Amino acid sequence: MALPFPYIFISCPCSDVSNRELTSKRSSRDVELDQEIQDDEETFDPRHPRSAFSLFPPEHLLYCEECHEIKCPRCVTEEINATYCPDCLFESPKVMVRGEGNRCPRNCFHCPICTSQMITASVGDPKNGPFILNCNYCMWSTLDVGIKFDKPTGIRGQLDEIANGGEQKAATVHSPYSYQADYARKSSLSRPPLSPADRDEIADPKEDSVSATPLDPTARFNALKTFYKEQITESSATDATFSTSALDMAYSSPSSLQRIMNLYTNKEGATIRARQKLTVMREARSASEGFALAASRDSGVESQSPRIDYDETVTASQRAFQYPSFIGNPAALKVSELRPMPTLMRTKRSKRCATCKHILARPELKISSARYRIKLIALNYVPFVTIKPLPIAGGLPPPGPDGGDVILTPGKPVQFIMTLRNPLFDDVSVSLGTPSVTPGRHGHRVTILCPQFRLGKNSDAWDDALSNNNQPDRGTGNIAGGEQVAGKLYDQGRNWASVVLEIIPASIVRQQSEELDEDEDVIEIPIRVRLEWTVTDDEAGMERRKRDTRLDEGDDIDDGKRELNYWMVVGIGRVAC
Amino acid sequence: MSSQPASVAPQTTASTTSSSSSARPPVTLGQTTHLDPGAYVRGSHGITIGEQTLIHPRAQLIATHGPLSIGDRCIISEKSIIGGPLESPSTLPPASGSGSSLLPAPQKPVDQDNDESDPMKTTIYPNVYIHAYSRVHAGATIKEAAVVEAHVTIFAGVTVGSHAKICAGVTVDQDVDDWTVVYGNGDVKRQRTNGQSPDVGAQHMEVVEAMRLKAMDKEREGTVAILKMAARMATLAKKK
Repeated sequence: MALPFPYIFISCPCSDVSNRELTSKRSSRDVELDQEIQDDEETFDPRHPRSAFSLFPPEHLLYCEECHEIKCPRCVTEEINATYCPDCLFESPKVMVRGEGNRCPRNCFHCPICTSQMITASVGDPKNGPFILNCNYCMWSTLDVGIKFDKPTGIRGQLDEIANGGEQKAATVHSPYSYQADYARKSSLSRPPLSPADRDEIADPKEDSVSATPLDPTARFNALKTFYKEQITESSATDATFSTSALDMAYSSPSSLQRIMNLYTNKEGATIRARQKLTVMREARSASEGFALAASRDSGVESQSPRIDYDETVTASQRAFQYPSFIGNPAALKVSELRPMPTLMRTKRSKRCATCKHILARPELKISSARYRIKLIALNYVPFVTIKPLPIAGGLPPPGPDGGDVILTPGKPVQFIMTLRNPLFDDVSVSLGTPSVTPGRHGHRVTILCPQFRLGKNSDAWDDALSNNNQPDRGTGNIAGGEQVAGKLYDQGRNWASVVLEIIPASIVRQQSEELDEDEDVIEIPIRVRLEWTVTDDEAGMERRKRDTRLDEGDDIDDGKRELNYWMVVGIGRVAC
Repeated sequence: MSSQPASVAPQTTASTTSSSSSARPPVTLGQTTHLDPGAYVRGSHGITIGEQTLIHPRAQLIATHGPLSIGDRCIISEKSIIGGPLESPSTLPPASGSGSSLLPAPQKPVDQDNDESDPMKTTIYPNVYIHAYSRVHAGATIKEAAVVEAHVTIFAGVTVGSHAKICAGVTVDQDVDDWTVVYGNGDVKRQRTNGQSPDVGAQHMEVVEAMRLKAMDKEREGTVAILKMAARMATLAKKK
């Protein structure tokens, strides 16, 4: 792991095999799993491939007040509260987001060259425009692709209608098929089917009227779609089995499913139908119907302008930035074909516990506020652990500010101070358990000198000063006073305690040919943490309120006792080898 | 503001070049130019500054390597060093600390050139905007209406073309063409006029550029007013 030593991970109990077994149904074939549970209960192996999926930095974890459990990103469900544009901080309704391709429907754009935010500027009259989008970083502007806007607002709508170069986009050129399609659909059942010859007569004058502008991919798709829809309507007029419901191409609709089933089951009908079929479906053949010669691409771009200056070509990232194709131009070859891209929307999400649906995190509704209304972070319930080398002669030097690698010599005992800081407003009794030899190929010996102790409550520092007389009995009772004595705390404070952790790294023996696995030399110590505390009534504020609501809801009687078990993995350093 | 001598850097005491660097260089100022009293001016060669130029307090104009010539309507922002590099790191720890990794290589040849041949002339054409913390080494040329953003280093002998833009943090070690934007690590360049119809594109570009220069003029005038007021207040306070 590319983290500076020492690092702490917490294993979410949700991935614990035993935990999962209790909730799910057992079957006879789970014997193997039971065996695994046995192993699992003994020690947590941070090297096990499975543990890679259950270890999280403590900051990433939440805590559910109902289940009294740590919740990792996998045991929460997320729901979207709002979709908004990060540039203009305007919220968009969900329907609109879907329609607009999850991009800002207003004036926010990003530069297709350098992806920085663009600014609407006026060229000419400051009020009446015309206006352009200008990138203040790389000085690209929409003038580079020949686009100007009439109004400084609603730029997204304006841009959708302008192609690069300033002409109207081909999609919005009044397509002959837009009215033709309607006409055909309305009359499809009443009108006698057209023979191919008839169609040609109709189609030909149309072709003349259509401007020679080639359609862009989106327009072509729409034209083809309407064209084939029309063809289907025409053929369906004579063909009873080929119902009009097939027009929508909705395979999920029951009627079209019926039709498809008919094709397979009713073979006789199919042969009859084939004989009956008089009208032949025609393929698209004019540009207005969405037809394009495959060769036109070669002759169009490559041969007409065989040379493009290198500076004018687009980079891969610039093309990737142009997706989706109905907004940008991902097929762009030249810089002049790029289009400014509307800002991608962002969401505000709240998180719920997957088991009890209790809300764990809920952002404020106001888009401009980055705060959370509810945020139950695990670090507010679980002691915060820090680790540093014991400052004694011959010990490890304290880590530098940049947190470089910590190298331990094999066979030589090293001591670390592990400090646990209690965030709760109650006293917590902690017991730490660790295997004496770490699991894995290289067993490093680990000893925690004081595995059981109490952490003081996280009261106000002033409370502490006022109730000074209480301090000594809590404090001095079990402190070794900076000495390493087994069974005694190294040091203790108001809401924290530190214990000494001793490690004897095993030497890593290997053959000449053998290569060390990646990070095989890292010492990772699994520690089972068990916390017990009682939610007391005399606590001010939060705790009591929570208890009250719980009682009001008629929950099972809560004695306020809490217990939390989890595996923690401490990465200490590397073994020299 | 007349050619009131700008204050000399306080740290120029214990160095071998102190005689030349502490000596106030002959400064020729335009009538309407604001050279803030808080700017550092040192060196022995001449410094010429055009009309309506604004030089922010704490900007450093160094004429030890060669003369400086700054055109009309320029803005030289604070903490920028024109005509550097500074002579030796020991005498000026604050400035050299920030750019120590970049400075040593070009420093030697510049000094040698200085000793052997004619002093190197640093030229800044009119309408140039030099942002904070940028370093223009002696012998560099910046043509008109170029923009040099913050933390940019321009090496000696380099010519930055007119209407070019050097984006923040870039180190320029070779000539930059006119109307070119240099960004990224200094390896990404973009021509500002490469539309499919060059003449039309250029026209449009000039319109946009004119707008930018207008905005820059406004900014300069406003800042000059504020700084002049501040300088007057400072001298009044000193007198009292």
